[in-house]
Amino acid sequence: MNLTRRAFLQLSGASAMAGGWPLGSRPRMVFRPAGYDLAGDILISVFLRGAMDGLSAVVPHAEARYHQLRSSTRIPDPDQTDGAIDLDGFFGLHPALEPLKDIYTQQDLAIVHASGSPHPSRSHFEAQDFMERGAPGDTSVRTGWIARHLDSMTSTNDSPFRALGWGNLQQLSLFGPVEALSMKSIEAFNLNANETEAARVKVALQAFYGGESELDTVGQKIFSSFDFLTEANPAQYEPQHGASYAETGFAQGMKQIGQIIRANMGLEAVAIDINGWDTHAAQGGVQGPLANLLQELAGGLSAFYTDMQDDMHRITVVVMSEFGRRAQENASKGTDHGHGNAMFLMGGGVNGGKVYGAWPGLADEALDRGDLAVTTDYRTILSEIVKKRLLNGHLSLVFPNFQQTAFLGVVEDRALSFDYRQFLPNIW
Amino acid sequence: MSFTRRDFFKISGLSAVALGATGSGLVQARAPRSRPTIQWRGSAADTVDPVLHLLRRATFGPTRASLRRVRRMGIEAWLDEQLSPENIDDSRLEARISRRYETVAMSVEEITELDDFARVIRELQAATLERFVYSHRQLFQAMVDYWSTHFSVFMFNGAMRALKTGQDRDVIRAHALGTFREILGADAHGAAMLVYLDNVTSTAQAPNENYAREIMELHTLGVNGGYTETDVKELARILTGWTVQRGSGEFIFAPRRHDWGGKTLLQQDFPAGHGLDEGERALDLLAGHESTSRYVAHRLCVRYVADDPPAGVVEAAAQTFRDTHGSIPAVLRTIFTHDDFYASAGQKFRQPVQLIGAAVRTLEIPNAAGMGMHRALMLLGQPLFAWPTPDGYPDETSAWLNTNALLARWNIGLALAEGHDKRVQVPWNIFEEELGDDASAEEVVDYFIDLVLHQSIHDDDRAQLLTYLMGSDNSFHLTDPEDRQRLPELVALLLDSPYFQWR
Repeated sequence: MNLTRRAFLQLSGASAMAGGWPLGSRPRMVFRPAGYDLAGDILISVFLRGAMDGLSAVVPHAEARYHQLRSSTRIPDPDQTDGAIDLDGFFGLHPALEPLKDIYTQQDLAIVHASGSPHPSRSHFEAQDFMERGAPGDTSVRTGWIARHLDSMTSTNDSPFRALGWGNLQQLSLFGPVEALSMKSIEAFNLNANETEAARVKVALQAFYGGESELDTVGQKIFSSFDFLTEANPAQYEPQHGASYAETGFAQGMKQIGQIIRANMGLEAVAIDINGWDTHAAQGGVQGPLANLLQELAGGLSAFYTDMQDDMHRITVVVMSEFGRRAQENASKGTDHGHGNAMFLMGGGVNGGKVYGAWPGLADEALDRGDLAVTTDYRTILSEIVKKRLLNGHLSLVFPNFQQTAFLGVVEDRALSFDYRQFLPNIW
Repeated sequence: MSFTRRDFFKISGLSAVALGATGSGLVQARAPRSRPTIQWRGSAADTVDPVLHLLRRATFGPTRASLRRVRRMGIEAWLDEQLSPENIDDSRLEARISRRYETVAMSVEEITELDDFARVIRELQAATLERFVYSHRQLFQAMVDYWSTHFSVFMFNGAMRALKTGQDRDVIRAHALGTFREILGADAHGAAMLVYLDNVTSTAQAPNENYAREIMELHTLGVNGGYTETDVKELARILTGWTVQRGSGEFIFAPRRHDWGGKTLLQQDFPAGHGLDEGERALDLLAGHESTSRYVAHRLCVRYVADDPPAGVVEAAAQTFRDTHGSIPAVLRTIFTHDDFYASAGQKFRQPVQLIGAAVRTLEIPNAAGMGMHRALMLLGQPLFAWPTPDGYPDETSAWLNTNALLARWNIGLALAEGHDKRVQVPWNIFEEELGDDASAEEVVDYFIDLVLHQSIHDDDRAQLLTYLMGSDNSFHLTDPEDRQRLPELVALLLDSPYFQWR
C-alpha cells in the first residue's frame, strides 16, 4: 500500500469521532466535495494499439531462450549496461519503463504476463474489436465491455462526463447504451462562432438537433457538456507534487484526465490510446521505436501517479494491447504478430510489486504456434477489477459467456479495505 | 504501424440506430425520430429525387449546375459519360495541378533527389482535394477515393513518403475504372504496398507474412473469405522475391529470395520450381475467387449504398463482378441502377472528406486552395493518406459520429462560412446579385436552403433559420451591413445541420 495515499473519510464516521478529540489535536480530514458520489474507483483503460511487444517491455531476462530468440532486439541482463531493470529475479522492465520501477516498488503497479485473449486471431483489427467488446470470438456481441459495465450498475451518475473517450475516434470499449463523450482536449471542446452572433447561433443550432435520432442525441450532449465544462473549469488545476507531463499526446491526455477528475465532474471511466506499436521491422532494443513508445507510456503513467497521488486510492489504471509479438524475431529486425502479452495495472488498490500469471516459458513445446502462450485470460484480470475496484458484481453481463475462474488477487477489494491509520494520524 | 478499430455496427435506416444487433440483450434500439429529418422537394416525405440522390453518392457533392445538367441529360447518359472518363475534358484542371503541384508527377528518384518530403505530402494532399472538388470526372474521382481506402497505405513513414505519390498516380488513378485484377496487379507490383507491408524484406529463409495476410484479409477475400493461417503462410512463400529496386522503386523479382518449393494455396497445388509466374497465378486465384467478388461488392455497397447494404444490391454487384471478370464500371452501373440504391437516400453519414468536398462544391467556392481544404480535413480527423493501418479510413457512421467529431464539424462549418481561410472564400457577391437588393428574409432563407441542400426542409427548421436571420430587431435588409453579417452564420447553420451530415 502506498503510504502517501489518503483515504476518503466517511463524513458520518468522521463527525461522530470528531467530537471526541481533545482541542487542538483534531486530525486533518479530507472532505469529498459535494457532487458525484462514486462508490467504486475511476477506471482508466489504456489501449496500446498495434500489439505491444510484451517480451521486450517485461523481459524474462533469466530465461536463456529469450536471449537466443531475440538476437538483435534483446534487452541485456540487469547487471549489464542498459540492462533490464530487475523486478523479481526473473523478469525485468525495459529500461525505457524506468519511471514505473518506483511505482512497482511502492506496490502500486502490478504486471500480468502471458495474458491476453484466448482467441487465435493475429489480425489487429479483429483482435482489437474482440478485446474491446470483451467477448473474443463472439461476433454477436456488439457493445464494449466498459459500456456494459456502466450500464449494468444501478447508478445515479447523470454527468455527461461519466464515460470519456480520449481522442478523435471513439473507442469500441465505450460503445453501447451508455453515452460516452469524446474529447480531444479540454480547450478544443467549444463552439467557435463569431462573437456577436454566437449566442443566437447556439440557440438555432440546438433547435436543429432537437429530435430523437442518434445524431440529435450526440448534438444535445454537446450542448449540455459545454455548460457543465464551463462551470467545472478543470483547466484551473495545475499538476501537483512536482509532477511533470511530457509533450506527448498520451501524457497530455493523462494530465487533462487528472484535471477532470479533480474538477469532480463525475468521471467514472475513461479510455485512452497510444498508437504505433506494430514493430514489424527495425524494432530496436534498448533504443529504437519500441523504446520510444515505452518511454511515452511510462512517462505519462508516472507523471499521472505523482500528480494524482492524493486520489490514486480511488483510481485504477489498466494497460492492455490486442496481442503480443512472436517469440522469434524476424529477418527485418522486428517481430511479427504473436499471442501472449503483458498487462499493467496501476493504482492505490492494486496489489503491486509483483509479476502475476503462470509463466509458460519460451521453450518450443511451450509456445503457441511460435508465440508466447496465454495462461491468463485478460477478462479474468478485468473481472477482478470490475468486481473489487468498481464494485460491480454483474460480471456475466460485462463479460457474457465467459467462464469465470479464480482471480489472481491483483487488486484489493475496495469494499473490504479501509485504512484506519490514514484516518487517525495524530491521535497516538 | 498504429491501429484503430473498425466498427461493424448495423445501421437500420436514417434515424434508428440499433446499437447491438443480436445477442447482448442489454442494448435497446433508439426510437425513430418523431418528425422526418428530410423532406424531399415538392413531394411526400418518402419520395426521393433520384438525380439528387445519385449526385450525392456518385460525386463529391451536388451543385445547382450539375443537378440541372443531369436532370436534362438523364441518369443513364450521365453514367455512360462518367464511366468513360477519358472522354471527359479535364485539361484545365490538370494544367493547374501540374503548375501548382509539380511533385505529383515526379518519379521516386526525382522525389528522393528533391529531399523535401513535407512538400511532397502536402502537394499530393492538396492536389487530391482540388481534383476531388473541381474535376468533371466526378465518378472517377469518387473511385480514386474508394481505391485509396481499399489499398490504403500510410504515407508518413520513412520510405513511404517517396512512394505514395507513385501509387496514387500509377496504380490507383491509372486503374480506378478498369478491372479489379488490373488494379490488384498494379498494386502488387508497386513499391508503395510492397514496402508498406514489408514484402521487400520477405525471404525464403524468413518470410514476412504481412502482405500475404492483408492482401487476403483486406484487398481480396475478406476476413471471412475462407482462407486459413496456413494459406497466409503459403502465400507469403509464393510472394517471396517480389521486391523493388533501390533508388527507382521499380518492381523487380529477386530469384535468390524466392522460395522455390512447392506450395498449396486455397486448396490449389502450386508445384515447385516456379518463380514470378506463380505469384501472378496466385493473384489470378485471389481476384477470381468467389469470396472476392462478394467482398469487393460488399465494400463498394458500403461506400455507395448503406453501412449495412441490402443483400439484393450486394449480390447483384457480386454477380456482375463475376460475369464481367471484375469490370469495375460494370459493377458500378449495377449499383447505380439498382432499386436498393434508390431506396437508400440519406442513409450514409458523410465522412469528413465527403463533407468538405460537398461544402466547397455546393457553395460554388471558386479556386479553393487544396491546402486550405486539407487543413479543415485534418481538424475533422481525416487527413489524407494518414490512416495508419492498411484497412483505410472506416466507412461506417459509427466511426465518425461522436461528440468530438460532430463538434469539429460544427466549427469547421462556421470557419468555412465565415471565411477564416483566405484561400477558401464563399462568393457572396454572386449570391447577393442573384438575390437582389430587395430580397425578403424569406427569399434569402429559401435561396440558401436551395443552394446548400437542394431540397426543402422541415417547417420548424426553416422557421429557426428565419428567426435567426431576422436578428434581434426582427427585420432583414440585404443592403444593411449589419444584417448582411448574419449571412455567413445562416450558411453555417445549414452546413452544420443534420441535413448536411447525410448523403
